[in-house]
Amino acid sequence: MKRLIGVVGASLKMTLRDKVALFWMFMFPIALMLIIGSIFGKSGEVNMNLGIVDLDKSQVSRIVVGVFEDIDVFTVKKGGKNELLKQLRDARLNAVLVISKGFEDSVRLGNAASAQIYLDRSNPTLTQVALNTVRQVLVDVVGRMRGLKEEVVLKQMSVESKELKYLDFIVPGIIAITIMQSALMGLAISLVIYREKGILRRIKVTPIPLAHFLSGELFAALLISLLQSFILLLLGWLVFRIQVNGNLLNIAFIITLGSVAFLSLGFLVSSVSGSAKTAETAAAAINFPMMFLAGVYFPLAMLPRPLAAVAKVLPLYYLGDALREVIIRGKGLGAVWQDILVLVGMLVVCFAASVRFFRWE
Amino acid sequence: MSEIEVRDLRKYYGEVRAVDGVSFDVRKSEVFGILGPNGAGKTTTLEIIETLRKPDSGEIYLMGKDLRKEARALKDKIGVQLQDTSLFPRLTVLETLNLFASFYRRTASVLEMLKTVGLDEKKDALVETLSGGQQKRLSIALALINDPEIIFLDEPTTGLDPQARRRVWEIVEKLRVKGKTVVITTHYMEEAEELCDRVAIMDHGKIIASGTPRDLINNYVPESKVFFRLEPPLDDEILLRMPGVKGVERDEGIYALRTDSPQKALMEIFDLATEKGCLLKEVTIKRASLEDVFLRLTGRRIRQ
Repeated sequence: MKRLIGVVGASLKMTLRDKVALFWMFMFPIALMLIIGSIFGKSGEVNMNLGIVDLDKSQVSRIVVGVFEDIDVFTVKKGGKNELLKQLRDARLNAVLVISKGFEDSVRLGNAASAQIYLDRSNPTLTQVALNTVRQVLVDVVGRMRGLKEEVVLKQMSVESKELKYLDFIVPGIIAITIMQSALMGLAISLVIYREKGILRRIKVTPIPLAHFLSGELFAALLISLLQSFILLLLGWLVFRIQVNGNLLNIAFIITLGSVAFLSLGFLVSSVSGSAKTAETAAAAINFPMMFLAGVYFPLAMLPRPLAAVAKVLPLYYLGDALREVIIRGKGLGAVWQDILVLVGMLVVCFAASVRFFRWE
Repeated sequence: MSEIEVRDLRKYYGEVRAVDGVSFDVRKSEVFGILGPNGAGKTTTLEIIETLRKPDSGEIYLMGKDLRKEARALKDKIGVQLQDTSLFPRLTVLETLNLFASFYRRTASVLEMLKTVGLDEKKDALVETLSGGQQKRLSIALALINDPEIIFLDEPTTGLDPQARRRVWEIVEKLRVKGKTVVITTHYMEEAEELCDRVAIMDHGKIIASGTPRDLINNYVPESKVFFRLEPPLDDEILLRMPGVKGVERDEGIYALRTDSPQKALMEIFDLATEKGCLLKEVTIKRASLEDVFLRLTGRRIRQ
């Protein structure tokens, strides 16, 4: 115990005295979050300028227009087709809905009612939301017309727009990336440097067993990871008002498990790398694909299908997913059992392999 | 009983016989030197004893205990200074000592240790800010932190300036006074003569001679050298004909006479100078050194 505390204390002191490492470990993720937050921070309250061209001018089409006007998310602008399409091209509108002539008749007769929507493709996220929302409103209105006739109430629409703010999505992602980078760039590189400089040899001639020394190093790295995650979560919550719906114990569990799993990956990198240069290359080779492909910066649904398949073999995807589900959606651990299984598996495999390949010099 | 017993130690790296059948004994409270040129196998031998390397064959007993069976217990009682000193750069001197102290069952007083190696004023300095000599001394302090019975110092003065080297010698003297057993490797022959009670000379993985420095010199290079200047100079031939003189060299007017009996040779030279009416100047006598022993044994200088 005396030994463990000694090693952990020394390791923490060394980390806190390394200004460059501190920058990458704390300032970089915080800056990243602030930048992304200030860019996407407002997109939480989706506000869409919707142009509506009513060619049918019927009772039903007026109801449809009325429904859109009642939804907070939409600012409806009525007008002629040419005029509104021009405004769409000028980016003053996000979408234009054209209700075709004969819309009411189709609805009453039970035929497929016809309407077109023109979208601004330059903003894919918003376009997606617009398309889904408009489609749902129409289906709903038409459905109700056929059943209950006139009275239409569509309160549930406002719930839809609250669903996922981009920041709610990105903050768990940034925490996941930070955990990974600390393990790969921090622990892996410093262990290789210890070996390269002969510090491990010096440790070996003392009576402390290898396992004790390494657990001390791992534990210190874990404490740093927990601190990083806590700061990022707190910042996300205080500054960007992300939704923290999860049980704190569950959150702590996932963060700890993720850290330990990625620390073993870092340990493995250090065990198989002959020099600090190799370790840095190996760490980068793991780091960058995960950062961009593991679906932590944007939802997998936005990736082409083959790339989305790649994401699912990257462990970072599972950590990001587990963090998001538990922190934002407030799910329990049972709901993310697959993520937990993958992380535990990675932990066991990497740890066993690192011990097998470990070298003193 | 010997404090250290090494029996027929071997370590081959492919064709290279780094350690090729090395045996020696070190007595308690002795300062024992292993000398030889770079690549002779000194460090490999030491690292095997320190448990850093596994020998291909051979036996090692420290304080009567088999190193293979009781490595962990023995590590608690030995102190090691490695050749390539490298420590945690961002810890202070005091933190480094406390960290290593936590690895051992028994520890010496850290502050006393700092005084012994003369680093008490640097105790709060980060290791990365220390000079080469200071880092060496810190590394020696670490070797003493567990108040060990046996201390291994691997080239503790290599790369140090003369003043820093002198400080290391003083530390070794303090250890001798305390009755510690010290094993030291070096390729500085004068250092071995100054510090060691007994030495083993290694070359190509083998011990080629061992004993006290005095015995080695008397056995292998018994002659001394007498240096002097004569004005006017005499012919070398006349000097060479004197009894007991084994050889004469002259370098810039200074004669160097090799002889087994410097006393007799000096008297002869006085007589000769008086007889020939020469002025005798700058007389010095130099005993042979371990360097000469190595030269005699191998035909090579130890530092090429």
